[in-house]
Parts: sequence; C-alpha cells; structure tokens
Amino acid sequence: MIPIWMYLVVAAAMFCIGVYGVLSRRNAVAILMSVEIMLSAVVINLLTFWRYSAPENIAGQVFVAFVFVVAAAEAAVGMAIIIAIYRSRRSVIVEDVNLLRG
Amino acid sequence: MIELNGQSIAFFVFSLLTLGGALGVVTSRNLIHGALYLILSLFGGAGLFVLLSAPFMAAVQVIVYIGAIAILIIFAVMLTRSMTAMREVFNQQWWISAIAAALFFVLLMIGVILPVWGENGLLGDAAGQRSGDHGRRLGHRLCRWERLRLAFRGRLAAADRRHHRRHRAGARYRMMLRTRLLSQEGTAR
Repeated sequence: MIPIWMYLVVAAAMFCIGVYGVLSRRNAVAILMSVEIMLSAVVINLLTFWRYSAPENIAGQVFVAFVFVVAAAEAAVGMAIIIAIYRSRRSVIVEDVNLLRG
Repeated sequence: MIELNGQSIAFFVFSLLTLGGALGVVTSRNLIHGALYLILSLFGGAGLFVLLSAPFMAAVQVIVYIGAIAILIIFAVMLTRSMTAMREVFNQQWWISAIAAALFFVLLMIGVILPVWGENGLLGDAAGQRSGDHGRRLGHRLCRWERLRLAFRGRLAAADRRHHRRHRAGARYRMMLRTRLLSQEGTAR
C-alpha cells in the first residue's frame, strides 16, 4: 500500500501550484482554473485521510461529495460573473476591474 | 522505502499527470491549452481516487469536473476570445507569489506532513496501515504525555515545598540536623 505521506505530498504540491496560479495570473478565467486545482488538491487530501484513518465511516466521502457540489456551483457563478464583466468592460484582466477598490 | 508493484507505478503515473497538468494550467500562455491541461490534471486526480478505493468519487470527478466544469471553462474562454492569448500572462508580483507558494510548500512539508505522517513521524504510516487506528494512537500518545506532565508537576511541587520548608527553618533546621547527627554518632559510639 502507498504510504500516506506520498498522497499528502502530492496534494500539498498541487495546492501550492494552485496558490501560485491564483496569486500570479492576470486573466480571471485562469484564476478560476487555479481555484479548481486547489479544490481538487483538497479533495485528494480528504479522501486520503478518509482511506487511511476511517475507511469504515462513509462521512469522508460525503464531505467529498459536498466539495464537488460546491465547486460546481462556484464555477458556474464565477463564469457568469466573468462573462458579465466582459460584456460590460470588454476585459477579463483583473487589474482592469477595480470597481470595489476603496 | 516502497516496493515497485502495479499500484505504486499507477500512483506515480497519476500523480505525475496531476502535478504536470496543474503546472501546465498555471503556466500556459493560451487559455485553451490551460483548460486542456486542467482536464489532464483532473483525470490524474480521478486515478488517484481509484487508488484510494473510492471509485464512485472518481466517476463523479470525471462526470462533474471534466464533463461540466471543464466544458464550462472552455465556453468561458471562447466567449472571452480576445483575452485568450495575451502578451503578459503574469502580473508584476509573480516572483513574490512564486516565493510565497514555494515557502508555503516547504513549510507544509517540514512543519506538518513529514513530522506527523512521515516514515517515523508522530502518526507514522507503519502502524496506521496495519489497523487504521490513527485516532486511537494519537489519543494514547496524548494520554501518555499528559500523565508525564502531571507526574513532573507533582514532583516539582514536592521539591518546591521541601525547598521552602528548609529555607524557612534556615539555620535552626541545619543546627538541629547537625545536633541530631552528632547525637546519633554519639550513640553509635
């Protein structure tokens, strides 16, 4: 069986790649894709801990199902916001959209 | 460290797919390529789910993520067509964010993952794999530590009391001790 820390290392590396994408990309769609990568890393972590600590308890998979549902809803709402901004401002560069800056 | 069988080879292939796809997403200049790399990364994640014996979640990953979210992202990329191939992909703080992400990864590795779940960490995998009782082992260790702390505190308090008594008594106590010692010596003689 694969040791638990290998899964954790893969998930941590994936999460950090997602953090880098969120912090460094300019396109809002790319930022949303990086957020999806971070969510996928979190799901790998959840399933790893479910498998290695309580495989007889189904609650871990229920958590993962919740994360899937929330990620799907978040992607739909995010894409809708991005396309609405693109229709009004002709740009999806996050530096151009500073409506909420104080 | 780890024997080379089909499972471990599948793990390495799927983790390579996952991490390579993630790197492709954050570095690709063309966003369509980024979306395809995202599909690759999610597919690798589904393979890891199968290895973690959660095949239903792997199916949900393929159906929901690859079938719905990735297609949604590709639609969004195509609807914002003029933005797909920009000259400057990264903002000015990209190196700060690279340093921050690398530091975060190193901190996670040496601060959390390897000391707790590493080869011979606090909750090392050797015993956890056998019976899957990480929680009980953690409870046992905490219990032992708590007992140790209580015992140490009791010993400290006793030493403190002895110290106080001796100092309050002061020279009188020492004199008494000496006289008792002398008298004992006298009786011994």
